Amino acid sequence: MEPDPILDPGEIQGDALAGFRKDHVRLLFVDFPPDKVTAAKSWIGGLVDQIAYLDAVHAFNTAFSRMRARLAQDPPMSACWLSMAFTADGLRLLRPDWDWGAIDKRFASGAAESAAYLGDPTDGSPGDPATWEVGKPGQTLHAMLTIAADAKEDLQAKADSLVHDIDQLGFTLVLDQPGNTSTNAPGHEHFGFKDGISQPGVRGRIGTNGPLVTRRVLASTDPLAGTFSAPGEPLLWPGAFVLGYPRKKTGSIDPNDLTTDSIPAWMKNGSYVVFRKIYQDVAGFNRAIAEETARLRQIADFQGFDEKRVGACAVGRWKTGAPLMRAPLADDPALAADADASNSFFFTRDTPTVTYDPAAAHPPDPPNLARRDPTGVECPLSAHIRKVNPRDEITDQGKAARTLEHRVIRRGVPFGLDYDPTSPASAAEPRGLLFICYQMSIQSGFEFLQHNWANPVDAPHDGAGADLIIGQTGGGPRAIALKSPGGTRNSLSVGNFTHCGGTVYLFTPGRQALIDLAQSPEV
Amino acid sequence: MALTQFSAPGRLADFATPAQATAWSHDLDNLFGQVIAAVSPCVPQPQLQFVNPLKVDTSGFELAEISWPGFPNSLVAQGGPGGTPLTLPEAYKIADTPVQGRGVQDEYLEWFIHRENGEIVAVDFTTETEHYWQSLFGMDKDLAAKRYSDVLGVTVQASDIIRNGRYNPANRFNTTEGIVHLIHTSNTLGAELDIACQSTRLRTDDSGSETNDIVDCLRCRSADQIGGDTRNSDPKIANVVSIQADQGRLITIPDPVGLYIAKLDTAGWKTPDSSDPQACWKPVRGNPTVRARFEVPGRKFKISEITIGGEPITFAGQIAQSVFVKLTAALGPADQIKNRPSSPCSAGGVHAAAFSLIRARGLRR
Repeated sequence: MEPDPILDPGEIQGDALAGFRKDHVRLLFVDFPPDKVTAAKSWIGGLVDQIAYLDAVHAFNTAFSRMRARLAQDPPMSACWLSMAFTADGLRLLRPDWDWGAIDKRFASGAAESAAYLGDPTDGSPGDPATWEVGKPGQTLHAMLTIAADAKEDLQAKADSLVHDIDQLGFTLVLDQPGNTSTNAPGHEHFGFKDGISQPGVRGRIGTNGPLVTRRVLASTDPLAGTFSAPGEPLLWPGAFVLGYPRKKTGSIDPNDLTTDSIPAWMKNGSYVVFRKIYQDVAGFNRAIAEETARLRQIADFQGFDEKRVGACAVGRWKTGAPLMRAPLADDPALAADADASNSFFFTRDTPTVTYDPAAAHPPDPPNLARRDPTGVECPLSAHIRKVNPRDEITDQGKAARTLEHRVIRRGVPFGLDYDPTSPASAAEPRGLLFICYQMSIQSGFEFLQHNWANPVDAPHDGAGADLIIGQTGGGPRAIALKSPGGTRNSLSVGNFTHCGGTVYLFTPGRQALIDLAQSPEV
Repeated sequence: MALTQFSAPGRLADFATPAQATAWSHDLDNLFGQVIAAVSPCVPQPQLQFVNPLKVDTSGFELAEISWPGFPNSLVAQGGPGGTPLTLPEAYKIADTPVQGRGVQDEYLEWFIHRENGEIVAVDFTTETEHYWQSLFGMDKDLAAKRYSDVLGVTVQASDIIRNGRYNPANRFNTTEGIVHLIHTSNTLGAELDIACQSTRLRTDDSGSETNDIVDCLRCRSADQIGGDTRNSDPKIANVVSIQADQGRLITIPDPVGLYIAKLDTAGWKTPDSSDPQACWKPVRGNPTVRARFEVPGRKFKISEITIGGEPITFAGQIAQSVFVKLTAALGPADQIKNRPSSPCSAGGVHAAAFSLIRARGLRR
């Protein structure tokens, strides 16, 4: 097999492959007026070396993880990172001379064009692109800056400084969107579920002879070593997320059947980014789960279902993050505390005990292994985590290896205050998720997952139901098939408790392309 | 009670006499029998779980649909000359190529494009099998020509669909001037039954674990091939049948036996006048549907003015990507059969059996 590709760590922006992983974030959406193009170029040129690239972010994350393992708590380390991405309009405004032949068509046409395709309503109700705060039709938008920091004050200082510059230079700040990890339950989204557990592993080294971009924790004797970086974390070639590197050939059922896309130089080391502001009605979700639980408990074979379990069926995990595949009947906080163990499961074959690399100093795999569940008794076929990441399942797209074509790297962070069920005013407060993901193609990444798998009832599994968490049916209710431990069937139906407040398709260029953006086109 | 006679695919009323309907039923009965006979020796345990609905009472069986998108992934997987990767537009273009495109349309769905001044004005989609039309022709060649006329709305003579005294599936009305039935060599009724029957054999993979990934399993444990592993359809059909067989169920393909068009998914499509894009989709033959047409009513706007996720439709392949093909399996109660995974075993002549009727009639081109 091909060796791990050498990634250019000083060129690739750091959030895609390493992840900023900060508790506090601000996203600045900027419009450059037509008479400010020169100022915009100058401003971008000044930011090029302030941006956090893969080398710095990876080194920080590695050091942070080592220190945390030693101290058994978060170490006193902090950083404030910056990244920059552009809409198609932004790139065209700054470099109309660039070669657009290989551009992702969905990126080029913009997210508002795709709203109906994504299942967003078009009748003027919340979620209709006309109601979006950012990315709505007719709104000019050119760039998104991401500022992410461990310390709130660092974030504020950096973001405020940028906002000041934006104002002084005569640009328009379309949206200043803050995000914060939950105060009460860090790492959990507002419905209460642990988020971001399962991510793809990425093959590649941080420069020649540098460290691997994704840690490898499996012993060389483990049957999954070489194809998985960690349990439940398949190794994908980096071209799946960053342009200009090898990736699995589309359509191929061999994960190592590689191709490298032919792209213009400005796209090298860049990624497509999807931003989606998702409002969550937590009180409504909780109420619906409670009502469905009460209904189900009237039915023989479902009397053992409580609200926690019904909610877990919608997601495929308990709120702690413990997966139904390893903890089908009750939550298992100890399992959830081991991020690798709680991601160690296949859906259609028995999952063997993981053997960890001794150097990883990993606790042994807990004994409650995942058993094969091809019919969805333990984890419903339409549980959120099974809809958007079918793992080893054969789908409507054919062999399981094809599911790798639709993996994205997620970097979401919540916004708004934690829901307080004891406060009547809390339900009406705005809260939700700032969903951000990176991919090599918006069409085969984010759009595929939303349109082809999350929304329909018949894909990836016939008749199984829509994704109750992110599935969109134009605002209507969604249902999934539910099975009791004995295999008795019923359904779980809830209304729509999320709506979109804005979607933006962006491209995050490599460093050289950022420098080139700041230059004037050659005449 | 067991079924007494198979219907025509899609419950079509093509036959002119009861005797013809009976002959078709016998034809299908023989095909079931041959497929079952070929696989049975590989199942030494209680019984093969795939049954013939004429022989076993399947009236109480539960129906389960298995569906997949109709655009061929195998084309994308195979790539262009020398295996060079294809972009989707490149793949659409190849699949849309008149006549030659049919050679890559291997998801049990084939289509014919009607153009005016280079613009696509209508697309006919079909899942009708060659087997059925061969059978119809064998019964009465003039009747077959009459049905061609009915389907296409033009006059077709028997002589138009004959070559060297035999039925010519690649006649001009089924290639250059229209489409009546599938002609890709993998899009056969025999293949459908073959996959379903073979997939009821329980399997273990190389590590000895039970697996429902039948296509993969066969590749590593047996010389037999089930379908194509880069297709959307075959791995999924085999997988779903295998999962259900694993539950100890008897399984069959229920009457009317055939491959069907499940739906056109137009979620997110936009028309220039904001009308419902489903108005452009007209199932025109069969219940369930075996033939459908995509055409703008009254041609009040162009197909290329319809967008999918912001992209105009410029290829029929874009539509095919959203056409879902299905077959229906009938599932008996669980826990009725206690077969164990069988040892590696070649079903020997299963393919010969599955395709024997076709071969016997000299239908290969």
